[in-house]
Formats: sequence, structure tokens, C-alpha cells
Amino acid sequence: MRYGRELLKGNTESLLLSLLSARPMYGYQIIRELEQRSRGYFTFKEGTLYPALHRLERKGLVQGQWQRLPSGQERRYYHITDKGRRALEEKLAEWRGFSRAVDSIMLPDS
Amino acid sequence: MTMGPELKGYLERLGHRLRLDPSVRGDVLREVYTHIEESAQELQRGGLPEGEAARQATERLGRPEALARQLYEAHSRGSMSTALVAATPHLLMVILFALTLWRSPGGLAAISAALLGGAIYGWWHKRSVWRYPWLGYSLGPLLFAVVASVYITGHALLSLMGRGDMGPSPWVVAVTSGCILLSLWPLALLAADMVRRDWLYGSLTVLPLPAMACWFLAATKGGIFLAYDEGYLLQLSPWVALSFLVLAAGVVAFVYSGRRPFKVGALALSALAASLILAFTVLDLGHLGIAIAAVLSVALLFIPMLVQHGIGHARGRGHARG
Repeated sequence: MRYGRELLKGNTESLLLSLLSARPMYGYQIIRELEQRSRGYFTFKEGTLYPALHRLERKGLVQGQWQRLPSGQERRYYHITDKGRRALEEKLAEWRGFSRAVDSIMLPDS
Repeated sequence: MTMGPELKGYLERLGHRLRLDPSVRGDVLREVYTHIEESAQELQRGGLPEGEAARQATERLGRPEALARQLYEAHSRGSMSTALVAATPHLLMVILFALTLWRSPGGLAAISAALLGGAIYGWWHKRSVWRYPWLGYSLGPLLFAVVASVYITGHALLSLMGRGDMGPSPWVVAVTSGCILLSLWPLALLAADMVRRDWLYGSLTVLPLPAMACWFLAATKGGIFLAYDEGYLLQLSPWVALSFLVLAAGVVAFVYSGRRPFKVGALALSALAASLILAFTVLDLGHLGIAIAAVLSVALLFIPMLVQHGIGHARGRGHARG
């Protein structure tokens, strides 16, 4: 699990962009989505989420927007920008190259 | 969900340490509140009482001090282009002294106009960090007035003691008064801005004042205010240019760094280095004088912090009475 936490730390921005490329989400929703999609492998330390989202926003990769839920409560939804989609494509290409290289060494018979 | 003491205390601690632009700070606090609200509601659905749910929800977010620090780092780190724009007024001063443009009225006017234009333009960009070094130069007239006032007071004392001439000329008094009046506006705006935001931007603003004061003092050689000894000033010019270059490097490091201790260190180190260069060359001081100049130039950076704390305490007392 510690290895997973380290991996999460190094890839937080890529994971967030990847989640947001599917649909806009707000902070709490992102944490739950990440846990569900990784089947509990990734558990985000909640306090680190907002600094990461705000860093992405400052870089212009995502944009936050307040929206009212049907319940009347407000949430700040993050939308991926065009710049964010381009950055995600680059990160995915890097990840595929890295993953292939690691597989070829650690799982040579697969 | 009602805002219980647990949630209220957490948001107060977070807000107190979140040194960001007020509009950004408000947005962040609102976002954190909605997060805790949803997290606590989920815990309540799992069977926890409201107070315990709020306590656990805030605990999941971590200590408010750590969250505030991380959010500050996310927001306060500027791009290299912002850092260069912030350093530009100091680089203009480097050009002014390295190329001795101060000798030509046209060159002096061009640099002054650029500094003034940058300060006015920067004033309207309220959330930008790059504007503070530009605003610092709008305090130049105040500094000039302070140096002139010291000169006027000295002459007046000498006159009273019957050892000096008849005192300062009327134009020095008029220019000094005008400078004080001109600088009250940027000074008041700066103080108000600092109180709302962060004293560190006040330090960024006052950073060039010691270097500017040194140049004014160099021009009072022999006890005559604004004495014009071109040969002497030409000798000093490269050193003054170097000191402004050091300040420009400090500003780039300040803007580009996200961590607050690094920012404070960048400003303090550049102020110290610039003051040592000037104390050794322009002011030609002894060891004690150099030490005093170095301490004063670094201490100046912390005056905005004292001002902000002083005003904050006064406001706190006012609210308590109200």
C-alpha cells in the first residue's frame, strides 16, 4: 500500500486530469471516484487534493466553477480545459512508454 | 448541516493562516466548508452523531495549518515570466546606473516614466504579485523627502547653534513638502492592501528603498544636499547598478519560489547583499556602520509585518468593543 501511495503522489496531476477528462467533478466526488475506480487501491489524503486541484487551475489545465446541486447545495466543479487535455495526452504517452519499459523488464514473459 | 464549534474552529484556523488574496481566500474556505459538509453527512448516514461526524470529517482533511501551507504554496508560486516582470523595475535601475543614463535628462525621464507607468498599470491589477516592486518605486519621492528632511533639520539645528548658514533654500522645503504629499497616497493604499493580503508583499515593495536612499545620501556629499559631483557619482554608479541587480535576482527567487520561508530568505538575502555592496562602496562606512546598515536594511523588510500585526490587533480590539 505504501508503494501505491508513492505512485499516487508522483502521478496525482495525471490521475486528476484523467478523471476530469471524463466529466466535470467536485473535490469530494473526485476522492470517492478515485477510490471506486481503483477498487480501494488509491486512497487520497483529503488535505492534499485541493492544493493539487488549485495547482492545476493556476496552470490553466482545469477551471473551477460553482454550481448548485438539485438539493440546493453548492459545489465547485472542476472542468478540464483544452490545455489540460493536451497536457493529459502528453502524460499518457509518457506513461505508456514508461509502463512498456517496466513491463519488458519486470514481466518479460507476459 | 449546522456549523458546529468543530467546523467553525477549523475554518477559523484555516482562514487565519491562509495568506491569499481575499477573494481567493473566501472561495477556498467555501470549498473546504462544502467538502466537510458532504463528508460529515456521509458519516452521519453511517450512524455517527452530528458533532462526531463533523470532527471526523475535519480530521480527514488534516491539520488546518498544513492545508493552509499547501494551498499557499499552490497559489503563491509564480511563473518565470511573472518573476521577470516583477524584477523589471530593478533591472531598469540597473540600466540607469550601468549605462549612467542618470546623467542625461532624457534617459532619466524615460526610466522615471517607465517606473511610474508600471506602478500605475500595476495598481489596477490587484491580484498580481508583479506589481509590488513597481509600486515600491512610487515610494521614491517619500524617501527623497525623508532624506531632505534630515538635511533640513540638521541645517536648522546648526543655524540655531549659530554654526551654520541661514538654513535650507525655499525650493528644498517646497520639493520636500510636495514629495511627502505625493507619497501619502501610495503609502496609504499600500498599507490598506497589506492588511487585506500579506505583509510579505509590503516587504517586496520596500525592498529597493535602502538602495535608493544610498544614492540620495551619496548626492549629499560634504553636507550639501544633492551636491553634484559627477566624477564621484560616476565611480559609484557600477556599484549601485550591481546592488539593484542583486535585488532583481532576489525578486525572481521570491516570485518563483512557492515556499514561504524561501520567499522570506530570498528577500532578506538580497537586501543584505545589496546593503553590504552599498555600505562598502557608496557609503564608505566603518565596520560598525556596515553592520548597522546591514541590520537596518533587513529590519526594514519586517516593518510591514509589524504594521499588519498592529492594525490587526487594533481591529480585534475594535471588534471586541463593538
